[in-house]
Amino acid sequence: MSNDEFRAFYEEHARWLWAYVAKLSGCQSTADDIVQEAFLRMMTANLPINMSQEHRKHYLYKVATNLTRRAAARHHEDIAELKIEAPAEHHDDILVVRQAMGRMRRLESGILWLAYVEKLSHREIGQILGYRENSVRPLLHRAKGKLLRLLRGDSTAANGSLNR
Amino acid sequence: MSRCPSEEEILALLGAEPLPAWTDHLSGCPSCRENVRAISALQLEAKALWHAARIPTASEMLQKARMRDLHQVECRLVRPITLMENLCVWTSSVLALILTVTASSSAPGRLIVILPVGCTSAAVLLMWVRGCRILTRALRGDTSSPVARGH
Repeated sequence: MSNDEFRAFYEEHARWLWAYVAKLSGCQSTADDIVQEAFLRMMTANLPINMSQEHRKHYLYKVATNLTRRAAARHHEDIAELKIEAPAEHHDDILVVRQAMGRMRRLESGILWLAYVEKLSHREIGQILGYRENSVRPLLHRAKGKLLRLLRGDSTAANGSLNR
Repeated sequence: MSRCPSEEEILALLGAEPLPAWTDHLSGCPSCRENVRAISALQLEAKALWHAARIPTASEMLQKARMRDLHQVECRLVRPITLMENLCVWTSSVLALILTVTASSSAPGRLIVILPVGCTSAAVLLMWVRGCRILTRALRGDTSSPVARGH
């Protein structure tokens, strides 16, 4: 990957990766560290020269997901609510979804994000999160159901069965 | 609430383009409406986070990657020298121990031969250790080392 290719790749994906890790970890400083570490690992790893941009992106998300899991296990953290100002025009919608996702498990947040923000296929989500393609559909369905229940204000939904 | 068969199709389109073709369906399907509301809110949250992202520039990342590469090369270069240095320290310690034991159990006449040989060997080993240290520091870019200063 040449420097110019890297610059273009970084400009396209770095902010989205930061948003994903911030959502997953609930901590901005953790996201700062993990995004840098994931990119450094991608740059210093002996990846095939002809590796496609899509595969590089998946590699990056996989590394970031694993680093986030490890950081969370080390600090025994739950997902916290992010202290980021929501834009005024969608303030209430964002706050509600933020509160709901703050009560979800890490895997559930991750799977929803990859499916509906990154718009990845079930196979790609499986590769990133370490699940088989067939397992992703029910996991995604359950995570979405839980998000809807939490948005409706069902407090018992937070005790779902998906593992972190 | 029952699951709508069009749900996945609508959610896949969400965020990418407006949903005029689905307006009628959405007005009559509470399940899809709720899903669209939830996932739209998630996408808005994603955009808010995207704007708040604190990331270094691409040039800074390239610089950091170069530094990490150099550090890895340095570690690979320094490893055999460190190994040699450790070997010398252990050899000199064992040699000193053997000489002490031999000298204490030998006749005083032989002590005159053993002591200079022992002292010379120990001095050579210490110089070798010192040399290894200077070389290691030079490879790590320590400017206080004589090699890095050009002496």
